[in-house]
Amino acid sequence: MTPDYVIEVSGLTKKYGTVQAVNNITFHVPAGSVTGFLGRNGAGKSTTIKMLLGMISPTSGSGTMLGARIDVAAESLQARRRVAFVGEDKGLYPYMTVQQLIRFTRSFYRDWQPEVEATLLRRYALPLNRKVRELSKGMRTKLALLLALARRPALLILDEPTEGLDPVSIEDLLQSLSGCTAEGTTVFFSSHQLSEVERIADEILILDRGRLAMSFSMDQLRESYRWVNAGFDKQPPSFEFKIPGVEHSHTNGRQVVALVKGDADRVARHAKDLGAVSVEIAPASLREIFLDTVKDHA
Amino acid sequence: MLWYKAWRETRNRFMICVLTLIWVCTVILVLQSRSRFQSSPPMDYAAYVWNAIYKDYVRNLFVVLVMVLGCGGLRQEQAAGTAGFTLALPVRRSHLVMVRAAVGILEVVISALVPAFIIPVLSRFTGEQYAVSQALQFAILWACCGVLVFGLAQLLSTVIPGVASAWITCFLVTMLYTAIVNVSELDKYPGLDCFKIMSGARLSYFNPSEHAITGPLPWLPLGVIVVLGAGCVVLATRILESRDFS
Repeated sequence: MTPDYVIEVSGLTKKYGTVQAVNNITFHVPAGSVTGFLGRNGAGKSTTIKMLLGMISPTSGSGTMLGARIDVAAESLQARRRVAFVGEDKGLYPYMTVQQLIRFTRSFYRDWQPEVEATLLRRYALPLNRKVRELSKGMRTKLALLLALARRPALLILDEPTEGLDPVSIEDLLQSLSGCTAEGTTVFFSSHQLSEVERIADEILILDRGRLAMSFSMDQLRESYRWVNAGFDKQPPSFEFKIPGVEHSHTNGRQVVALVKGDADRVARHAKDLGAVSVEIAPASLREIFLDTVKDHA
Repeated sequence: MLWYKAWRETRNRFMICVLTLIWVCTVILVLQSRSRFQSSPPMDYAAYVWNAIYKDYVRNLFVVLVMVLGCGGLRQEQAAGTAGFTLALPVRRSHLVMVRAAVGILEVVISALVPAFIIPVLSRFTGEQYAVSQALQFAILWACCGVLVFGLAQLLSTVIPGVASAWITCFLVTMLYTAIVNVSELDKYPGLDCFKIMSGARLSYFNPSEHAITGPLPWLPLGVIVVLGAGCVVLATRILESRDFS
Protein backbone atom coordinates (compact mmCIF):
# COMPACT_ATOMS: atom_id res chain seq x y z
CA MET A 1 0.00 0.00 0.00
CA THR A 2 1.34 3.45 -0.88
CA PRO A 3 1.56 5.72 2.16
CA ASP A 4 -0.26 9.06 2.04
CA TYR A 5 2.97 10.92 2.56
CA VAL A 6 6.35 9.87 1.22
CA ILE A 7 8.20 12.38 3.38
CA GLU A 8 7.12 13.37 6.87
CA VAL A 9 9.28 15.67 8.91
CA SER A 10 8.63 16.92 12.42
CA GLY A 11 10.66 19.50 14.31
CA LEU A 12 13.72 18.76 12.22
CA THR A 13 16.68 20.84 13.31
CA LYS A 14 20.33 20.98 12.33
CA LYS A 15 22.80 23.12 14.22
CA TYR A 16 26.44 23.75 13.33
CA GLY A 17 27.86 25.23 16.51
CA THR A 18 25.75 28.30 17.11
CA VAL A 19 24.42 28.41 13.55
CA GLN A 20 20.99 26.87 12.99
CA ALA A 21 21.04 25.68 9.40
CA VAL A 22 17.58 24.14 9.76
CA ASN A 23 15.34 25.26 12.57
CA ASN A 24 12.49 23.11 13.79
CA ILE A 25 10.76 22.48 10.47
CA THR A 26 7.68 20.34 10.08
CA PHE A 27 6.18 19.38 6.72
CA HIS A 28 4.97 16.45 4.69
CA VAL A 29 5.11 15.57 1.02
CA PRO A 30 2.05 13.80 -0.42
CA ALA A 31 2.60 10.66 -2.46
CA GLY A 32 2.35 11.24 -6.20
CA SER A 33 2.94 14.97 -5.95
CA VAL A 34 5.56 17.25 -7.42
CA THR A 35 6.72 19.37 -4.50
CA GLY A 36 8.85 22.46 -5.01
CA PHE A 37 11.18 23.31 -2.15
CA LEU A 38 12.01 26.99 -2.37
CA GLY A 39 14.33 29.29 -0.51
CA ARG A 40 17.21 31.66 -0.94
CA ASN A 41 20.82 30.49 -0.95
CA GLY A 42 21.67 29.25 2.53
CA ALA A 43 18.02 28.86 3.53
CA GLY A 44 18.65 25.25 4.52
CA LYS A 45 17.21 23.42 1.51
CA SER A 46 20.28 21.29 0.76
CA THR A 47 20.82 20.56 4.46
CA THR A 48 17.23 19.34 4.74
CA ILE A 49 17.60 17.15 1.65
CA LYS A 50 20.86 15.70 2.97
CA MET A 51 19.21 14.94 6.31
CA LEU A 52 16.45 13.10 4.45
CA LEU A 53 19.06 11.04 2.61
CA GLY A 54 21.05 10.21 5.74
CA MET A 55 24.11 12.22 4.71
CA ILE A 56 23.69 14.58 7.66
CA SER A 57 22.39 13.62 11.11
CA PRO A 58 19.67 15.87 12.50
CA THR A 59 20.50 17.66 15.75
CA SER A 60 16.91 17.09 16.86
CA GLY A 61 13.52 16.27 15.45
CA SER A 62 12.47 13.30 13.39
CA GLY A 63 11.55 12.39 9.87
CA THR A 64 10.55 9.50 7.70
CA MET A 65 11.10 8.89 4.02
CA LEU A 66 8.91 6.19 2.46
CA GLY A 67 8.08 5.15 6.02
CA ALA A 68 11.73 4.65 7.01
CA ARG A 69 13.22 6.75 9.79
CA ILE A 70 15.89 9.01 8.36
CA ASP A 71 18.11 8.87 11.46
CA VAL A 72 18.28 5.06 11.60
CA ALA A 73 21.05 3.90 9.26
CA ALA A 74 19.50 0.52 8.44
CA GLU A 75 16.09 2.04 7.63
CA SER A 76 17.64 4.87 5.65
CA LEU A 77 19.53 2.27 3.60
CA GLN A 78 16.27 0.45 2.82
CA ALA A 79 14.60 3.72 1.80
CA ARG A 80 17.50 4.65 -0.49
CA ARG A 81 16.79 1.54 -2.57
CA ARG A 82 13.58 3.27 -3.66
CA VAL A 83 14.82 6.86 -3.72
CA ALA A 84 16.80 8.55 -6.46
CA PHE A 85 18.81 11.69 -5.81
CA VAL A 86 20.21 14.20 -8.23
CA GLY A 87 22.54 16.54 -6.36
CA GLU A 88 23.17 20.20 -6.95
CA ASP A 89 26.68 19.69 -8.32
CA LYS A 90 25.75 16.60 -10.38
CA GLY A 91 28.93 15.04 -9.00
CA LEU A 92 29.35 11.83 -10.95
CA TYR A 93 32.56 9.84 -11.13
CA PRO A 94 34.64 11.74 -13.69
CA TYR A 95 36.88 8.77 -14.47
CA MET A 96 34.05 6.55 -15.70
CA THR A 97 32.49 6.64 -19.14
CA VAL A 98 28.75 7.10 -19.50
CA GLN A 99 28.37 3.38 -20.16
CA GLN A 100 30.52 2.38 -17.19
CA LEU A 101 28.58 4.67 -14.87
CA ILE A 102 25.26 3.29 -16.07
CA ARG A 103 26.51 -0.28 -15.55
CA PHE A 104 27.86 0.66 -12.13
CA THR A 105 24.61 2.29 -10.96
CA ARG A 106 22.42 -0.45 -12.44
CA SER A 107 24.16 -3.05 -10.27
CA PHE A 108 22.65 -1.55 -7.10
CA TYR A 109 19.01 -1.65 -8.18
CA ARG A 110 17.10 -4.84 -8.89
CA ASP A 111 14.20 -2.99 -10.49
CA TRP A 112 16.33 -1.21 -13.08
CA GLN A 113 14.31 -0.61 -16.25
CA PRO A 114 16.45 -1.27 -19.35
CA GLU A 115 13.75 0.12 -21.64
CA VAL A 116 13.66 3.41 -19.68
CA GLU A 117 17.46 3.50 -19.88
CA ALA A 118 17.35 2.97 -23.66
CA THR A 119 14.61 5.57 -24.16
CA LEU A 120 16.40 8.20 -22.12
CA LEU A 121 19.74 7.44 -23.78
CA ARG A 122 18.10 8.15 -27.14
CA ARG A 123 16.22 11.20 -25.94
CA TYR A 124 19.22 12.77 -24.22
CA ALA A 125 21.69 11.70 -26.94
CA LEU A 126 24.31 10.76 -24.36
CA PRO A 127 27.65 9.55 -25.80
CA LEU A 128 28.18 6.14 -24.20
CA ASN A 129 31.94 6.02 -24.58
CA ARG A 130 32.69 9.53 -23.39
CA LYS A 131 34.11 10.02 -19.92
CA VAL A 132 31.93 11.92 -17.45
CA ARG A 133 34.66 14.54 -17.02
CA GLU A 134 34.34 15.36 -20.72
CA LEU A 135 30.57 15.99 -20.55
CA SER A 136 29.05 19.46 -20.36
CA LYS A 137 27.07 20.37 -17.25
CA GLY A 138 23.86 19.89 -19.21
CA MET A 139 24.92 16.43 -20.32
CA ARG A 140 25.94 15.53 -16.76
CA THR A 141 22.53 16.59 -15.53
CA LYS A 142 20.87 14.44 -18.19
CA LEU A 143 23.05 11.49 -17.23
CA ALA A 144 22.24 12.00 -13.54
CA LEU A 145 18.57 12.11 -14.44
CA LEU A 146 18.85 8.95 -16.51
CA LEU A 147 20.52 7.16 -13.60
CA ALA A 148 17.72 8.37 -11.35
CA LEU A 149 14.75 7.63 -13.59
CA ALA A 150 15.86 4.29 -15.04
CA ARG A 151 15.30 2.60 -11.70
CA ARG A 152 11.74 3.98 -11.56
CA PRO A 153 12.08 5.30 -8.00
CA ALA A 154 9.19 5.82 -5.61
CA LEU A 155 10.70 9.18 -4.72
CA LEU A 156 12.93 11.40 -6.83
CA ILE A 157 14.78 14.12 -4.94
CA LEU A 158 16.53 16.83 -6.91
CA ASP A 159 18.62 19.66 -5.56
CA GLU A 160 18.65 22.63 -7.95
CA PRO A 161 18.24 20.42 -11.03
CA THR A 162 18.09 23.23 -13.59
CA GLU A 163 21.18 25.04 -12.32
CA GLY A 164 23.52 25.78 -15.23
CA LEU A 165 21.27 24.28 -17.90
CA ASP A 166 20.38 25.91 -21.20
CA PRO A 167 16.69 26.60 -21.94
CA VAL A 168 16.28 23.52 -24.15
CA SER A 169 17.76 21.24 -21.49
CA ILE A 170 15.55 22.86 -18.85
CA GLU A 171 12.51 22.15 -21.01
CA ASP A 172 13.60 18.50 -21.40
CA LEU A 173 14.11 18.21 -17.67
CA LEU A 174 10.75 19.74 -16.80
CA GLN A 175 9.00 17.41 -19.21
CA SER A 176 10.76 14.42 -17.67
CA LEU A 177 9.81 15.53 -14.16
CA SER A 178 6.17 16.18 -15.08
CA GLY A 179 5.98 12.71 -16.62
CA CYS A 180 7.39 11.06 -13.49
CA THR A 181 4.22 11.20 -11.44
CA ALA A 182 2.35 9.26 -14.12
CA GLU A 183 4.80 6.41 -13.44
CA GLY A 184 4.07 6.60 -9.71
CA THR A 185 7.13 8.64 -8.72
CA THR A 186 6.84 11.47 -6.23
CA VAL A 187 9.12 14.39 -7.07
CA PHE A 188 10.66 16.61 -4.42
CA PHE A 189 12.93 19.30 -5.78
CA SER A 190 14.59 22.49 -4.68
CA SER A 191 14.95 25.34 -7.11
CA HIS A 192 15.48 29.05 -7.52
CA GLN A 193 13.64 29.07 -10.85
CA LEU A 194 10.18 30.11 -9.71
CA SER A 195 8.56 30.09 -13.15
CA GLU A 196 9.65 26.47 -13.62
CA VAL A 197 8.42 25.49 -10.18
CA GLU A 198 5.11 27.17 -10.90
CA ARG A 199 4.78 25.16 -14.11
CA ILE A 200 5.24 21.69 -12.70
CA ALA A 201 4.76 21.74 -8.92
CA ASP A 202 1.58 20.73 -7.10
CA GLU A 203 2.88 21.59 -3.65
CA ILE A 204 5.16 24.36 -2.46
CA LEU A 205 7.34 24.64 0.63
CA ILE A 206 9.17 27.90 1.24
CA LEU A 207 12.15 27.77 3.56
CA ASP A 208 13.69 30.96 4.86
CA ARG A 209 16.69 31.16 7.17
CA GLY A 210 16.22 27.57 8.22
CA ARG A 211 12.53 27.95 9.07
CA LEU A 212 9.55 26.78 7.09
CA ALA A 213 8.03 30.11 6.12
CA MET A 214 5.09 28.87 4.02
CA SER A 215 3.53 25.68 2.79
CA PHE A 216 0.66 25.49 0.32
CA SER A 217 -0.56 23.72 -2.77
CA MET A 218 -0.61 25.36 -6.19
CA ASP A 219 -4.40 24.90 -6.19
CA GLN A 220 -4.56 26.88 -2.97
CA LEU A 221 -2.35 29.52 -4.54
CA ARG A 222 -4.64 29.88 -7.53
CA GLU A 223 -7.88 29.72 -5.58
CA SER A 224 -7.12 31.30 -2.23
CA TYR A 225 -4.16 33.63 -2.35
CA ARG A 226 -4.86 37.25 -3.28
CA TRP A 227 -3.15 40.56 -2.89
CA VAL A 228 -5.23 43.23 -1.25
CA ASN A 229 -3.80 46.65 -2.05
CA ALA A 230 -5.41 49.38 0.06
CA GLY A 231 -4.71 53.09 -0.51
CA PHE A 232 -5.17 55.61 2.31
CA ASP A 233 -5.14 59.41 2.31
CA LYS A 234 -3.03 59.47 5.46
CA GLN A 235 -0.35 57.21 7.01
CA PRO A 236 -2.10 53.82 7.10
CA PRO A 237 -2.32 51.68 10.26
CA SER A 238 -0.48 48.59 9.01
CA PHE A 239 -0.78 46.77 12.37
CA GLU A 240 -4.56 46.81 11.86
CA PHE A 241 -4.01 44.30 9.07
CA LYS A 242 -2.76 41.60 11.38
CA ILE A 243 -6.05 39.76 11.21
CA PRO A 244 -6.94 36.15 10.42
CA GLY A 245 -6.43 35.36 6.75
CA VAL A 246 -3.62 37.88 6.26
CA GLU A 247 -0.37 35.97 5.78
CA HIS A 248 1.77 39.09 5.72
CA SER A 249 1.31 42.77 5.14
CA HIS A 250 3.60 45.71 4.60
CA THR A 251 3.22 49.44 4.24
CA ASN A 252 4.51 51.29 1.21
CA GLY A 253 3.96 55.01 1.67
CA ARG A 254 0.21 55.43 1.99
CA GLN A 255 -0.54 51.97 0.75
CA VAL A 256 -0.88 48.73 2.63
CA VAL A 257 -0.25 45.57 0.66
CA ALA A 258 -1.51 42.36 2.27
CA LEU A 259 -1.18 38.80 1.12
CA VAL A 260 -4.46 37.12 1.96
CA LYS A 261 -5.27 33.46 2.14
CA GLY A 262 -8.99 32.85 1.92
CA ASP A 263 -11.62 35.57 1.95
CA ALA A 264 -9.94 38.58 0.31
CA ASP A 265 -13.27 40.46 0.18
CA ARG A 266 -13.47 40.40 3.95
CA VAL A 267 -9.98 41.93 4.21
CA ALA A 268 -10.96 44.51 1.56
CA ARG A 269 -14.04 45.43 3.63
CA HIS A 270 -11.83 45.68 6.70
CA ALA A 271 -9.53 48.07 4.82
CA LYS A 272 -12.50 50.22 3.84
CA ASP A 273 -13.69 50.26 7.45
CA LEU A 274 -10.24 51.55 8.40
CA GLY A 275 -10.69 54.41 5.95
CA ALA A 276 -9.06 53.13 2.75
CA VAL A 277 -9.93 55.36 -0.21
CA SER A 278 -9.12 52.65 -2.78
CA VAL A 279 -8.95 48.86 -2.52
CA GLU A 280 -7.80 46.48 -5.22
CA ILE A 281 -7.80 42.69 -5.14
CA ALA A 282 -5.37 40.92 -7.47
CA PRO A 283 -4.33 37.28 -7.90
CA ALA A 284 -0.96 36.35 -6.39
CA SER A 285 1.76 34.59 -8.35
CA LEU A 286 4.26 32.21 -6.83
CA ARG A 287 7.06 34.66 -7.56
CA GLU A 288 5.28 37.44 -5.68
CA ILE A 289 4.48 35.22 -2.72
CA PHE A 290 8.03 33.90 -2.57
CA LEU A 291 9.65 37.32 -2.77
CA ASP A 292 7.22 38.75 -0.27
CA THR A 293 7.79 35.84 2.12
CA VAL A 294 11.57 35.92 2.10
CA LYS A 295 11.59 39.74 2.21
CA ASP A 296 9.12 39.64 5.06
CA HIS A 297 11.34 37.37 7.08
CA ALA A 298 14.57 39.22 6.26
CA MET B 1 30.55 -2.99 -8.43
CA LEU B 2 31.98 -1.15 -5.44
CA TRP B 3 35.13 -3.20 -6.06
CA TYR B 4 35.24 -1.80 -9.56
CA LYS B 5 34.80 1.75 -8.26
CA ALA B 6 37.59 1.29 -5.69
CA TRP B 7 39.84 -0.18 -8.36
CA ARG B 8 39.12 2.66 -10.80
CA GLU B 9 39.83 5.24 -8.12
CA THR B 10 43.19 3.74 -7.18
CA ARG B 11 44.23 2.18 -10.47
CA ASN B 12 46.52 4.99 -11.62
CA ARG B 13 48.19 5.35 -8.25
CA PHE B 14 48.70 1.59 -8.03
CA MET B 15 50.24 1.46 -11.52
CA ILE B 16 52.58 4.33 -10.64
CA CYS B 17 53.49 2.52 -7.43
CA VAL B 18 54.28 -0.78 -9.16
CA LEU B 19 56.13 0.81 -12.09
CA THR B 20 58.20 2.98 -9.74
CA LEU B 21 59.21 -0.04 -7.69
CA ILE B 22 60.07 -2.03 -10.82
CA TRP B 23 62.09 0.86 -12.21
CA VAL B 24 64.05 1.57 -9.01
CA CYS B 25 64.75 -2.12 -8.31
CA THR B 26 65.90 -2.60 -11.91
CA VAL B 27 68.26 0.38 -11.79
CA ILE B 28 69.73 -0.80 -8.47
CA LEU B 29 70.28 -4.33 -9.75
CA VAL B 30 71.65 -3.28 -13.13
CA LEU B 31 74.15 -0.95 -11.47
CA GLN B 32 75.10 -3.52 -8.83
CA SER B 33 78.55 -4.45 -10.10
CA ARG B 34 79.69 -0.81 -10.24
CA SER B 35 78.14 0.15 -6.90
CA ARG B 36 79.19 -2.90 -4.95
CA PHE B 37 82.89 -2.63 -5.75
CA GLN B 38 83.00 1.15 -5.27
CA SER B 39 81.92 0.77 -1.66
CA SER B 40 84.53 0.24 0.99
CA PRO B 41 84.90 -2.60 1.77
CA PRO B 42 83.31 -4.12 -1.37
CA MET B 43 79.96 -5.74 -0.60
CA ASP B 44 78.79 -9.19 -1.53
CA TYR B 45 75.63 -9.38 -3.62
CA ALA B 46 73.26 -10.25 -0.74
CA ALA B 47 74.60 -7.35 1.33
CA TYR B 48 74.18 -4.99 -1.60
CA VAL B 49 70.57 -6.07 -2.23
CA TRP B 50 69.72 -5.84 1.44
CA ASN B 51 71.30 -2.42 1.91
CA ALA B 52 69.93 -0.86 -1.25
CA ILE B 53 66.50 -2.47 -1.35
CA TYR B 54 65.37 -3.98 1.91
CA LYS B 55 67.07 -1.71 4.41
CA ASP B 56 66.98 1.73 2.87
CA TYR B 57 65.98 3.33 -0.41
CA VAL B 58 63.40 1.00 -1.84
CA ARG B 59 61.90 0.17 1.56
CA ASN B 60 61.41 3.89 2.27
CA LEU B 61 60.05 4.41 -1.22
CA PHE B 62 57.61 1.53 -0.68
CA VAL B 63 56.36 3.11 2.56
CA VAL B 64 55.86 6.46 0.83
CA LEU B 65 54.01 4.80 -2.05
CA VAL B 66 51.77 2.84 0.33
CA MET B 67 50.80 6.16 1.92
CA VAL B 68 49.77 7.34 -1.55
CA LEU B 69 47.67 4.18 -2.00
CA GLY B 70 46.06 4.65 1.41
CA CYS B 71 44.96 8.23 0.92
CA GLY B 72 41.52 8.68 -0.58
CA GLY B 73 37.97 7.63 0.11
CA LEU B 74 34.74 9.40 1.00
CA ARG B 75 36.34 12.51 2.46
CA GLN B 76 38.30 13.01 -0.75
CA GLU B 77 35.13 12.30 -2.74
CA GLN B 78 33.51 15.09 -0.79
CA ALA B 79 36.27 17.44 -1.93
CA ALA B 80 35.80 16.22 -5.51
CA GLY B 81 32.00 16.64 -5.33
CA THR B 82 31.08 12.99 -5.88
CA ALA B 83 30.29 12.05 -2.26
CA GLY B 84 26.60 12.90 -2.69
CA PHE B 85 26.23 10.37 -5.49
CA THR B 86 28.09 7.68 -3.54
CA LEU B 87 26.21 8.25 -0.28
CA ALA B 88 22.84 8.18 -2.05
CA LEU B 89 23.56 4.60 -3.19
CA PRO B 90 21.85 1.91 -1.11
CA VAL B 91 25.10 0.91 0.54
CA ARG B 92 26.31 1.21 4.12
CA ARG B 93 29.21 3.58 4.67
CA SER B 94 31.12 0.80 6.42
CA HIS B 95 30.76 -1.32 3.28
CA LEU B 96 32.21 1.50 1.17
CA VAL B 97 35.22 1.83 3.47
CA MET B 98 35.81 -1.90 3.77
CA VAL B 99 35.74 -2.48 0.02
CA ARG B 100 38.09 0.47 -0.51
CA ALA B 101 40.42 -0.92 2.18
CA ALA B 102 40.31 -4.46 0.78
CA VAL B 103 41.27 -3.26 -2.70
CA GLY B 104 43.98 -1.03 -1.23
CA ILE B 105 45.46 -3.81 0.90
CA LEU B 106 45.52 -6.12 -2.10
CA GLU B 107 47.43 -3.44 -3.99
CA VAL B 108 49.85 -3.09 -1.05
CA VAL B 109 50.47 -6.85 -1.05
CA ILE B 110 51.08 -6.88 -4.82
CA SER B 111 53.43 -3.90 -4.47
CA ALA B 112 55.32 -5.72 -1.71
CA LEU B 113 55.72 -8.68 -4.04
CA VAL B 114 57.30 -6.58 -6.79
CA PRO B 115 60.87 -6.83 -5.43
CA ALA B 116 60.30 -10.52 -4.73
CA PHE B 117 59.75 -11.10 -8.44
CA ILE B 118 62.19 -8.56 -9.83
CA ILE B 119 65.23 -9.40 -7.69
CA PRO B 120 65.49 -13.16 -8.38
CA VAL B 121 64.75 -12.69 -12.09
CA LEU B 122 67.12 -9.77 -12.72
CA SER B 123 69.85 -11.32 -10.58
CA ARG B 124 70.16 -14.10 -13.14
CA PHE B 125 70.61 -11.59 -15.94
CA THR B 126 73.43 -9.91 -14.03
CA GLY B 127 75.13 -13.22 -13.31
CA GLU B 128 74.17 -13.32 -9.64
CA GLN B 129 71.89 -15.47 -7.51
CA TYR B 130 69.19 -14.36 -5.09
CA ALA B 131 66.93 -16.94 -3.47
CA VAL B 132 63.22 -16.61 -4.21
CA SER B 133 62.48 -17.79 -0.66
CA GLN B 134 64.51 -14.88 0.76
CA ALA B 135 62.71 -12.38 -1.45
CA LEU B 136 59.32 -13.82 -0.52
CA GLN B 137 60.07 -13.61 3.20
CA PHE B 138 60.96 -9.95 2.85
CA ALA B 139 57.76 -9.49 0.82
CA ILE B 140 55.76 -10.89 3.76
CA LEU B 141 57.46 -8.44 6.15
CA TRP B 142 56.78 -5.54 3.77
CA ALA B 143 53.18 -6.53 3.14
CA CYS B 144 52.34 -6.77 6.85
CA CYS B 145 53.97 -3.44 7.71
CA GLY B 146 52.43 -1.99 4.54
CA VAL B 147 48.98 -2.86 5.92
CA LEU B 148 49.71 -0.73 9.00
CA VAL B 149 50.92 2.23 6.93
CA PHE B 150 47.92 1.83 4.62
CA GLY B 151 45.53 1.76 7.59
CA LEU B 152 47.13 4.86 9.05
CA ALA B 153 46.80 6.67 5.71
CA GLN B 154 43.13 5.60 5.47
CA LEU B 155 42.46 6.83 8.98
CA LEU B 156 44.09 10.18 8.34
CA SER B 157 42.19 10.46 5.06
CA THR B 158 38.91 10.31 6.95
CA VAL B 159 39.77 13.29 9.11
CA ILE B 160 41.78 15.40 6.68
CA PRO B 161 40.21 16.52 3.39
CA GLY B 162 42.33 16.43 0.24
CA VAL B 163 44.65 13.62 -0.83
CA ALA B 164 47.80 15.77 -0.63
CA SER B 165 47.05 17.07 2.89
CA ALA B 166 46.29 13.56 4.14
CA TRP B 167 49.46 12.20 2.56
CA ILE B 168 51.65 14.97 4.02
CA THR B 169 50.14 14.41 7.47
CA CYS B 170 50.69 10.67 7.18
CA PHE B 171 54.31 11.29 6.17
CA LEU B 172 54.85 13.58 9.16
CA VAL B 173 53.22 11.11 11.57
CA THR B 174 55.47 8.35 10.23
CA MET B 175 58.55 10.55 10.64
CA LEU B 176 57.51 11.33 14.20
CA TYR B 177 57.00 7.62 14.90
CA THR B 178 60.46 6.83 13.49
CA ALA B 179 62.03 9.54 15.63
CA ILE B 180 60.30 8.26 18.77
CA VAL B 181 61.28 4.61 18.31
CA ASN B 182 64.87 5.63 17.62
CA VAL B 183 65.46 7.59 20.80
CA SER B 184 68.07 5.91 22.98
CA GLU B 185 65.58 4.45 25.48
CA LEU B 186 63.43 2.76 22.86
CA ASP B 187 66.23 2.00 20.40
CA LYS B 188 67.07 -0.96 22.62
CA TYR B 189 63.84 -2.59 21.42
CA PRO B 190 64.14 -2.81 17.62
CA GLY B 191 60.92 -4.84 17.54
CA LEU B 192 59.03 -1.63 18.24
CA ASP B 193 60.28 -0.15 14.97
CA CYS B 194 58.07 -1.28 12.12
CA PHE B 195 60.74 -0.29 9.60
CA LYS B 196 63.38 -2.41 11.32
CA ILE B 197 60.93 -5.31 11.21
CA MET B 198 60.66 -4.76 7.44
CA SER B 199 64.41 -4.96 6.98
CA GLY B 200 65.16 -7.38 9.80
CA ALA B 201 67.96 -5.14 11.07
CA ARG B 202 69.03 -6.07 14.61
CA LEU B 203 66.27 -8.62 14.88
CA SER B 204 66.71 -12.29 15.71
CA TYR B 205 65.39 -13.73 12.44
CA PHE B 206 67.94 -11.77 10.42
CA ASN B 207 71.54 -12.86 10.10
CA PRO B 208 73.65 -9.72 9.58
CA SER B 209 76.72 -11.56 8.39
CA GLU B 210 74.81 -13.32 5.60
CA HIS B 211 72.37 -10.43 5.09
CA ALA B 212 69.61 -12.97 4.98
CA ILE B 213 66.59 -14.11 6.95
CA THR B 214 67.71 -17.29 8.63
CA GLY B 215 65.31 -17.62 11.54
CA PRO B 216 61.53 -18.03 11.56
CA LEU B 217 59.55 -14.90 10.70
CA PRO B 218 58.16 -13.00 13.71
CA TRP B 219 54.57 -14.07 13.16
CA LEU B 220 53.25 -12.69 16.42
CA PRO B 221 54.59 -9.13 15.92
CA LEU B 222 53.48 -9.30 12.28
CA GLY B 223 50.01 -10.36 13.40
CA VAL B 224 49.89 -7.46 15.85
CA ILE B 225 50.98 -5.07 13.10
CA VAL B 226 48.26 -6.32 10.74
CA VAL B 227 45.65 -6.08 13.52
CA LEU B 228 46.76 -2.50 14.21
CA GLY B 229 46.40 -1.69 10.51
CA ALA B 230 42.94 -3.28 10.45
CA GLY B 231 42.11 -1.36 13.63
CA CYS B 232 42.94 1.89 11.83
CA VAL B 233 40.54 0.91 9.03
CA VAL B 234 37.81 0.03 11.54
CA LEU B 235 38.34 3.33 13.33
CA ALA B 236 38.17 5.15 9.99
CA THR B 237 34.85 3.37 9.36
CA ARG B 238 33.46 4.44 12.73
CA ILE B 239 34.49 8.04 12.10
CA LEU B 240 32.91 8.05 8.64
CA GLU B 241 29.68 6.51 9.90
CA SER B 242 29.09 9.38 12.26
CA ARG B 243 30.36 12.16 10.00
CA ASP B 244 28.06 14.66 8.33
CA PHE B 245 28.57 15.13 4.60
CA SER B 246 27.22 18.61 4.10
